[in-house]
Formats: sequence, C-alpha cells, structure tokens
Amino acid sequence: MQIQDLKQALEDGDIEKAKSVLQVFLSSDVSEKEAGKILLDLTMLHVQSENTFNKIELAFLDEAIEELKALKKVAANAGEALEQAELKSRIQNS
Amino acid sequence: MVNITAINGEPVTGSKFGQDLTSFRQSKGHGHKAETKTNHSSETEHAAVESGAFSMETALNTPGFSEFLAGFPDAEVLDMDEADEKLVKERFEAFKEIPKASKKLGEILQAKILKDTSVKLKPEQLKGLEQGLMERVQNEGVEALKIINQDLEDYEKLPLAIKAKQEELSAMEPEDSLESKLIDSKESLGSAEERKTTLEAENNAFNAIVRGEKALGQFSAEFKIVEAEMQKAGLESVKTAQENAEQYGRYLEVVEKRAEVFAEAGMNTDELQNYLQAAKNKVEAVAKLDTGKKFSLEAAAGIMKNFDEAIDAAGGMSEDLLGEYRRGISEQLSKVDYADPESGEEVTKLNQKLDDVRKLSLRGFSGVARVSGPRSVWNSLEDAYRLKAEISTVLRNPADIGRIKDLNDLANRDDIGFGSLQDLYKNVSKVGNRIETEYRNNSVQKGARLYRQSKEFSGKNVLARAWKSFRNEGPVSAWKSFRKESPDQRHKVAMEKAEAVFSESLGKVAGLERKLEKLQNASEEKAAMELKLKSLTRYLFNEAEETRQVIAEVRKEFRQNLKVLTEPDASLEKALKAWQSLDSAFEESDGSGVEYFDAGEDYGGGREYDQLEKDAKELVMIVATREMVKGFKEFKKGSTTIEKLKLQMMSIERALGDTATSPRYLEVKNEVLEGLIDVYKKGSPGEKALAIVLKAYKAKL
Repeated sequence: MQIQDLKQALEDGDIEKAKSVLQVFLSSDVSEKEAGKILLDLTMLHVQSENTFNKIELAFLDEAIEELKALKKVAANAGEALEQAELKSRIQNS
Repeated sequence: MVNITAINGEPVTGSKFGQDLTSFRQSKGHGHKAETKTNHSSETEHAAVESGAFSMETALNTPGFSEFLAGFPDAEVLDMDEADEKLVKERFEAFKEIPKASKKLGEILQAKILKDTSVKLKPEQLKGLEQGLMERVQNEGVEALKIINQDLEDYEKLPLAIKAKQEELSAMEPEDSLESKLIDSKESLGSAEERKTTLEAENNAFNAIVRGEKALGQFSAEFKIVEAEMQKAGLESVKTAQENAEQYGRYLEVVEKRAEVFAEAGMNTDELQNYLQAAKNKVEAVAKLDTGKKFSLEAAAGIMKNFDEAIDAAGGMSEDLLGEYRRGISEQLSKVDYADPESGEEVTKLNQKLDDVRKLSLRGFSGVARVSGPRSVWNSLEDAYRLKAEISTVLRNPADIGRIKDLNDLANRDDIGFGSLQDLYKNVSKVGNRIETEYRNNSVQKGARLYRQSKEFSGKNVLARAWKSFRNEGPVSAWKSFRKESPDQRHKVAMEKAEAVFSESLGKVAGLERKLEKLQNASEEKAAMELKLKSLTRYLFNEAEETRQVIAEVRKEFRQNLKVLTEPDASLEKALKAWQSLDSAFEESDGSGVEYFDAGEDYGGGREYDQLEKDAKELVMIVATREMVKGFKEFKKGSTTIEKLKLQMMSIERALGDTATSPRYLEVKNEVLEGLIDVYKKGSPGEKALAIVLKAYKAKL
C-alpha cells in the first residue's frame, strides 16, 4: 500500500506527499531493489525540479539586470536631454 | 542460438551469460584474482580505461561488470568480439560512474528530501539506490546516466550562478534611474534663482532681527528703570489700571504699527531708536501723572510682552502671509475695549495668536526657512508634484501596468511594485493637500509641521525609495513567490510569466524612450515658438518705428507751415493756404499722422493736434485783421475807393467764413464799419440810407 501511495505521489509530481509517504516507507520492510528504484525516482524528481526553477530564476535575474542597464541608459539620455533643453532655454532667456 | 562469443573464441551460452563469463574468467587464469575481489576495484577500472586502449578482458574481469552487462536487454545478442567493443566500453564506463552518481543522489536524498525528518538512510537502502540506478541504465541505456550526471552537475552549479547574479543586481545603484535623473536636473536648473532670492530675503530678515533685538534690549533696559519708578510709587489700583489700559491700548496699537513698518522697511535702527525714545517718554509721562491716574504694573508688563512679541514676530516672519496674519491680529487687538472687565480673556487669546506668529519666525519656522514666502512654497511643491505626475505617467504606460498587475496577482500582495509606488504618490498628494488647507485656514503651525513631513515624502528621496522598493519587490521576489505554489503548476506558470515579464520589460524601456522623445519634441517646439515670437516682435517693432518716423515728418512740416504765418508780410491768401496745408500734410502721410493724433487722444496726440490747429487759426486771424486794417488805412488816406474796401472786406469775410471769431478781428471790423458809416452819412441820400443799414448790421455784431 505504501509503495503504491509513493508511486502515485511520484507520478503526480507531488513531492511533499512523496516525502511524507517515504518516511513510513523507509521504516517498513521492503526489498532493496524496490526501494532503490523509488528512492532514485524521488531524488531525481527533486533534482530536476530544483534545476528547472533555478534556471528560470537565473533567466529572471539576467533579464532584471539587462532591464536595469537599459533603464539606466534611457535615464542618462533623458537627464542629458533635459539639461540641454534647460541650458538652451536659459541662453535664449538671457 | 546465442551469438555471444568469448574472447578465447569459444561460444558461450546466452541464457547462462553471467555464469559463462565467470567460467571464462576462471578458465583464462583470472579466476583467482576475481575471486579475491568482492567489490569494484578502482585500480582495475583505471587500468581498463586510462591505459589508453580499452581492454575487453580487463573489463570483463572487473567484479560485478559481467553481471551488470548481462542485465542489458540485448545481452543475449551481444557480440563479445570487436564488433561490440565500443558498446561494451561505454557500458563499462557507465558502470564505473554509477557508484559516484549513486553517492551524490544518496547525499541529496538525506540532506534535502529527508532534511526535516528523523529518517537516517541505512547502508542497504543506499545500496538499493545504486542498484536502482544500475537497473535504469540497463533498461534505458548509458544515455540515462549521462542525463542524470548532467542534472547533478546543474544542481550544484545553478545556485552559485544565481547568487552571483543577485550580487550583480544588488550592486546596481538606483540613483541612475530616470526618476532621479529628472529630479536632479529639474531641481538644479529650477531653484538657483529662487535660492538667490531666498538667501537675500533670509539675510535681510536676519539683519532686521539683529537690529531689532539690539534696539529692544536698550528699550527693555530703559523700561525697567521706568518700571522700578512705577513700582516705587506703588500705584496698583485696578481702577486706574483700567483707565490707563485704554491709553495703553492706543499705545500698543502705535507700537505694533511701528513694528510692522520697521519689519517691512527692514528695521531701520535710527528710526526704531527715535520711536523707542518717544515710547519711553510716553511711559515716563504717564508715570508722572496724577497718583490716581497711574497704570498698573500688570498692564505695563502685558504691554511690554506684546511689544516683545510683536517686534520678535515682525523681525522674523515671512512677509506675505505671516505679515498679513499678524496685521489681522493687531487690528483685532486695536479694537479691544480695555474698559471692559472681560477684555482680558480676549487679549489673552490674541496674544496666543501673536505667539503662534512669533514661532513662525525664521528660527521657529525652520520648515520654510529657505523660502521667501508661502507662494514660493507652493510653487516648489507644485513643481515637485507635477514632476512626480510626469514620472508616474511614464511608469503607468500600458506595458508596466500589465507587468506589475501580473506580479501583484502572482504574489497575491497589494503592497508590491506599482501599488506601493502609487501609495507613495498618493501620500505625497494627501500631505500636500492638507498643508494647503491648513495654510488657507491660517493654521500656520500645523501647516509648517505638515510641510516638514511632506519633505520626507517628496523629492528625490521618495522616488529613490519607491524605485528601490519597486526593484526589490519586482521580478525576483515575484518569482520567489511562484516557488510557494504547487510543483505541478509552477513550472508551466513560471515559464509563461517569465516570458511575459521579459517582453513587457522591453515594452517599459520603449515607453520610456517614447516619453523622452516627447520631452525632446516639446523642447524643440518651445524653442521654435520662441523664435517665432522674437521674429514677430521684431516685425512689430519695425512697424512702430516707421510710424514714428512718419509722424515726426508730419509734425515738422506742420511747424514749418505755421512759421509761414508768422512772417510780417504774410498775406491772408498765403496764410489761408498754409493753414489748409496742415490737413493735407496729414493726408499725405497716408493717414499715419492723423491716426496718430486721433488714436493718441488719450495720450496727448489729440490735444497736440488741437493746439496746433488753434495756433494756426489765431495766426490766420492776425493776418486777416492786419489786411483789413491796412485796407481801411488806405481808404482813409484816399489811396483806395470805398468800393475796393468793401470788396476787400467781403473777400476776407468769405475766406474766413464762420471762423472769423477772433476778438481783435471783430474789433477791427467794427472800427472799419464805423468809418464807413461816417463816410456814408455825409454822402448822397442813397449812401445815407446805406449808412443806416450798416449801423443796424454793426449793432447785430
């Protein structure tokens, strides 16, 4: 029953449920071979899941950095243009 | 039939592959060595691989490998000669990698998955994990192991890469943001002149305070002498105090009015000294009054207190608003009926108001110490709010709204990104409105306090904070919130959102660029308009100059014509011609001169024309009179006939028309008529009759 529950949790990708079932599973009398396959599935699910999200987060960070760089460039241009405009206005008014 | 062939060339039975391989090792003299090793031998492995050339024999003699190899689905058809050597070599390398990968997986399992549990993995369970990995490789091929190894490598490296990127992001300062740039530019460009004015006003006010305090110190010292004299006299009756309060009410009114004048005029020390001397004299004079008419010490102290406050407040206040406020209080004080026993309470209230004003001196009103008046405060605030509104518009471009809304929804928070930014702007506006209301209600103390509060929310700081908040609570934290969601959904959702954020970020930059372009266009349009304005002004100036020249010419010609009339031998004909030429001179100037005199009536043009015309008429009349006198004299001398005289008179009368109203002309005309009547009276009957007619005509004149 525990093995079936664990397998089902793994198939569903529900890692939290899998962990809770795993605790009972590891303390039960089950063959090494059967346990080994399930432990491998569970661990790889965790590894691949973490990797996926880490990659996305990395992409987010890259984008955030690029966005800030672009904004800084625009800001610098805007500030410069404004200063030029004000300077021109002062000269005309003087 | 099984096709596997052992290295010695003898066929082995596929169904008993593992057993046959064992027999093979034993038969080839490796059996002893194999039997003495129960686990993987790293030395053997290295020898098999790193010797450069793969050795099938060494591999097959590696303990456990034969069994591992036999577990592959194609074991029965595997050819053990050179044809499948490459395949065997790959599987052998995988075989060696499995324990390392298995060990890493076991560590992750224990450290991460079982982290919060009391479960400790047993050696046999770790062994089972390794077996499971072997079985997967056998079933799915060596590629499965490569994928797992790559995943394990990523698992170690990705967090390090993320950490490095986060540090890079944190190192990017927000001061270079568009908002800060815009504000810096505006502030630096817009406030220089105001600062100058403010500093001058502040300096003047400071000097006034110094002078006022010095003068007040002298006055106080002298007043103390008077006070001591009064105290010595012991005159403290309430009745006399009330009687004298009225006098001192007027005194106070004068003091305060003078204080206002001093404050507005920059507190001229000499003037103040003179005034204070007069005040002192008055105090002394009152002190010397009849004993029953002395004022009370209490009343005198109250007056001094008001005077102190009035001087203090007048010296330090911002002129416009506070001056007006103070004058209002003074006016009320001047209306207090000091004879009324209840007037004390009213005076106390008004004094409290004066105290409020005093606290708003430059020293007490530090919140606006650097502005010259309330109008400047509001101009500054309005500029700040307008700028914020512009920036807010930039941040609210459609791409931003979509993006930030998404982030807010994902994080399920109201205080993230755009929301917090908007709140800040709202807060600034709210504070600003409250200040304005308080100012309008003359609650100047509250207004000052709120202004100081508003400074904390306004300007560069608030935007820098807002931007920092937006950045910190932006994509990264929003992404972190994704991770709290269920694993089956988060991957899909995250990927979609990531893509959306990326594209919307580009939209934001494009929005800012559009805004910049608008700013540049607006600036160019403004410059072009100013140029047009200058051109138009120059054109109008030239037109005006031309008109002025025409008028000058007309005036010159006019004067010349008048001059003609003043010549001694000017004939009436010549005089009339000169007079008539005046109008034609204006007409020749295309009407400019006439227009000038007509349009300029309110400014003297019309009067100038009238005067010129009057002068001309007078001169014409003089010439006409002269002509008539001359003709009459010639008639009397007999050098001309009466008929010629009559003709000459008629000619003059016709020429002058209804303008012949000059007294001198009429006098001469009268004289001529009398002369004619005298002549006709002595003549024929017909001439006598004509004399009667002329007499009647003369009587009508």
